[in-house]
Amino acid sequence: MNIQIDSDLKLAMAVQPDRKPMGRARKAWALARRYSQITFGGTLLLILVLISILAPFLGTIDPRAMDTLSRLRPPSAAHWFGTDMLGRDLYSRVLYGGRNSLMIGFSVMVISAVIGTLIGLISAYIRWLDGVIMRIMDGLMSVPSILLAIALMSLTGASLTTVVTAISIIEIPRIARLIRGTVLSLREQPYVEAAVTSGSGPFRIIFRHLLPGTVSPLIIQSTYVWAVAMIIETMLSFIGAGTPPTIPSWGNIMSDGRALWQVKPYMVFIPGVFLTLTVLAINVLGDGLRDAFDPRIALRK
Amino acid sequence: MLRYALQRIIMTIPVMAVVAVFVFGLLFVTPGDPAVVIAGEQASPAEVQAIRVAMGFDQPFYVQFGLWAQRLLSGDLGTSVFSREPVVELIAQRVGPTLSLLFGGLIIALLLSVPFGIYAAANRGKLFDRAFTAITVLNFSIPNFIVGYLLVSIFALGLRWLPVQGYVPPDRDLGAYLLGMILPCLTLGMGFASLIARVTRASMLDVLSQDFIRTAKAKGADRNRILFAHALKNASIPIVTIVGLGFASLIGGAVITESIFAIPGLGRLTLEAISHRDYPVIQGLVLVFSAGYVLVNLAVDLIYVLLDPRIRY
Repeated sequence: MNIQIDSDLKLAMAVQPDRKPMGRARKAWALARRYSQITFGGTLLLILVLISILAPFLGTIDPRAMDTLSRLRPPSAAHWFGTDMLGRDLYSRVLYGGRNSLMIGFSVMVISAVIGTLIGLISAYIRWLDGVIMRIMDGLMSVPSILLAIALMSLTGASLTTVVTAISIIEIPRIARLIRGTVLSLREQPYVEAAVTSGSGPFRIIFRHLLPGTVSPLIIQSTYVWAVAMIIETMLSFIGAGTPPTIPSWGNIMSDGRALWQVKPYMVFIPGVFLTLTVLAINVLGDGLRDAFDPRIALRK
Repeated sequence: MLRYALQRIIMTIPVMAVVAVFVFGLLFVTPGDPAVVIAGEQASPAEVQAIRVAMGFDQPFYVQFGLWAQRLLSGDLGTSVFSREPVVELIAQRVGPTLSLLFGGLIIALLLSVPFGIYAAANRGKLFDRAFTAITVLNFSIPNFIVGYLLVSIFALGLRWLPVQGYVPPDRDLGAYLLGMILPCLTLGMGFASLIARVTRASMLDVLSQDFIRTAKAKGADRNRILFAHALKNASIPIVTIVGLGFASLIGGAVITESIFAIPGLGRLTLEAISHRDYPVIQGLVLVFSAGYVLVNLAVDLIYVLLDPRIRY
């Protein structure tokens, strides 16, 4: 997307040192433009995260407070995003709902990154277990994720923990496969072979030589997991198999608005816009990180 | 080729076995008595006991699994707890609309993605390419039910060109069936199109930078001939791969799309099964959908050989 801008900037930066050293602010600005996707995605994500963290200070009221006298009000000065069928303030629900949606996505990302890395490492390192583990991962990956989550949710009943667990189980195989592949190729690198020959123990090799090499693919993949997890949470809640209805999340707010969406479309579209912006921010950030980390793209530039 | 096909078919067996064990075992690893889970919280002890005996939960795990697997192999997916009908029949009744939706969605996804992906790659860095990249990322980030509602708002409620929802079987009124499937298939296809389009663009860029393309240009081949005859053929393997891998998300999308457009397919059956806590039906659906996904990817692996004669097994 930004190849043109990037190459212009590269030229500009190459000329720069001959004139005078760049100030700190200019350097930061040049960096921000150099990695424009990371800047855009990161800033947008930061704003959305701040909005949900600061929800209590942004003119919200209790997102669960019902006011039966003002039900289904369109957006107004008193209720910026209107009210739902129970008279709850949608602006407050969307902001507080963002906390839950972001937290669910973030938790899934952390849990599946940690467990997936562990499984991937074990699979790549203990060869006789590799076949078994990878067949299990293949099996898990061949169940369409929404259905897998539905099956898990229908058995355990709705709670935040089960939503996070169900989505994490879906995402773990993807991380495990990635880490296994990365570690397998790192193991063949001369520096790792040298470490093995010079008598380093397995733990030293894993923590000192193999894990650092998995960090950049892991970070990139994890951002996508965060985005995907938020979309799955929304879809599950939307069909009534996700976050319990008492807890506001973007999926639940949209699910509430579903019955009336033809007359009050904003009840679905406002939380939808917030969700889309968040997922977009995370995806753009992930694309930017991928391009920044990928040595082939760096070389091309 | 035949030997490879056979080998590849045999390789799907352990994968399906894992799915079967997982789907069956799920009922046991989740906390609580499976009979109570299925009966629901308001059931009386007698009802719970009846389900326990009917489902065989009073027997040891391995006996139950053995019996279940034996019936599964003979094509018996058990009986619905709610409607008391065989799960196989329930699925057979509902499979038609879902297959139409998946097929239509896939066609639309391919039509929307491959041509634009090729054009973006051929015009790399130009305005079209940058707009293309931005649009695919944006489209990729919108949950498909929002896309569905937007499409309905525009084409059904606004322009009144197409029905809002509902499903007419093709043998009753083919015209109404086709009209009714346009919006659901578009909803399902659009999200998938972004993914295929991105892979098409990346794969084409990769091929277009190779020596044989330069040679083709040097000998004066027509630009379209280079793009379609030389490049696309070589760029098609990653495209076919992502179609196979993405099929799982297409199935997930179909469940949601059916629920938006009130299409009585397998997705709706899934949602009905959830609300009735009808675990045998959910089990059967997960197995059937997973088998579909595994079969699609088996087909993808066999298509590789047709696309690239260098692949010999």
